[in-house]
Amino acid sequence: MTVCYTGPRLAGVFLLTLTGLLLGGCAGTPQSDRLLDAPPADISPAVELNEVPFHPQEAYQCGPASLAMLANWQAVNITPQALTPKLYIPGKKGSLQIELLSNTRRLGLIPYLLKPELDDLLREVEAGNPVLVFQNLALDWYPRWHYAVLIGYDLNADEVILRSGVNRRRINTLAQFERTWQRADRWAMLALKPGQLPTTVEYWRYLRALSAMEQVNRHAEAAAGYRAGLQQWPDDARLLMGLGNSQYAQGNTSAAMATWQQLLDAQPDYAPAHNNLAHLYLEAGNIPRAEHHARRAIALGDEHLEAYRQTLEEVHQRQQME
Amino acid sequence: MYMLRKFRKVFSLIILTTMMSLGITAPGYAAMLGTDDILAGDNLQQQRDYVKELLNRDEVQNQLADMGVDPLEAEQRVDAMTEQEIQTLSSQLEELPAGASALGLLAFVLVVLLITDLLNLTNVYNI
Repeated sequence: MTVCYTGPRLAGVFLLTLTGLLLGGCAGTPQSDRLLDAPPADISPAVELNEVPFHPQEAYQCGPASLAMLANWQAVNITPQALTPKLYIPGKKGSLQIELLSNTRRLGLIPYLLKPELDDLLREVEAGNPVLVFQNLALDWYPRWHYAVLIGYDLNADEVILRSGVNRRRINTLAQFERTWQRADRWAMLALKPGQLPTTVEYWRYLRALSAMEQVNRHAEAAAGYRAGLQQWPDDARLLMGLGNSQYAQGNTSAAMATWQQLLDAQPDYAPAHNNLAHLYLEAGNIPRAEHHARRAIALGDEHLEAYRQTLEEVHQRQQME
Repeated sequence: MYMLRKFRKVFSLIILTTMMSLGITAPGYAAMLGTDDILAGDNLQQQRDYVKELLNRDEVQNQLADMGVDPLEAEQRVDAMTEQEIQTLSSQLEELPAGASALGLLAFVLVVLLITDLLNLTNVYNI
């Protein structure tokens, strides 16, 4: 008798497993639910950036196509075809997130990673910034990775609008988009013109974006970025350090000196500025000033103390030479 | 091209050995604080490991070339990355997801995805 039940029972187990597989990892869509249930009062109900250009992607080329759209929107003239050799990896049949960032920098734009919140994405679109998003269009256990550009939304109609693949206007519901986006760790990027702040700007995200520009020798762009940051956070020590470093790297030593002096006027006890000023005075041959700032840095001390000691050591070496 | 890459590798090994034997750890003005040092905050003066950074750079470049990227292009691509990005790629390039499109699906999965698309869980098809 029991045999009779084996069939249905197995089928039941199979169905349950299948359902589990399909739904497993589908964590719901809290961000869309919140946006639709109680739309924030300070956000327009519907926006579409019609003017964002569209490049239909060729096979596997959603990365180059998406980045070209963002770049063109910022008046940088580049085609997806020109980006392909810089961005596409034949062996992976796709493009890496890291290389979308590095190629944005190569174009002289500043890649800024947004907070993984759907309403921040919508706020950026509302402010006129198309957002490059990473999606897993399929399932966790069978991923199909994809880049697209978010260019609009309509909260009343429950729609987001994407430039995606060969579709100029691909419409998703908010929940549908949230699922494919959260399966790709909710990665979203802006390409900022140097000097432009994201409307949802966050201090640390912005600083890291600028520091990365410096690291790949995009010092003029970084400097413009630091200046814009200083409008938002006047006299901020890290921004002024960054501005001075990028001025110095461009060979503008006197501007760097003025920047760090400004920083010390606002915060006389900021040791890193004393340290770097010591180096500038050393370069200028003003050894007494160099020694003064090196000693101040050591006296204040912080996690960079070892560097400050090294600075004083260099000052002493110069004293002995003269 | 292969010879060229081989040569580059030998060349960078020679430089590395020289640097190590001379005890050189950092180029230029060592104690000037860069913005990345400031942001790293907690004790970055734990000497940056330049030898390792050079090796990582070479490794990522070679891996990209092995994956079909033109070797000269690969060099420029690595030059456009930050040290942190290079480090990530040197350890994870194989596994990292690469965005492409929903092309080339298996037959079984096509059916599953059709269902999940209809349930609004995925977005592979143009429905």
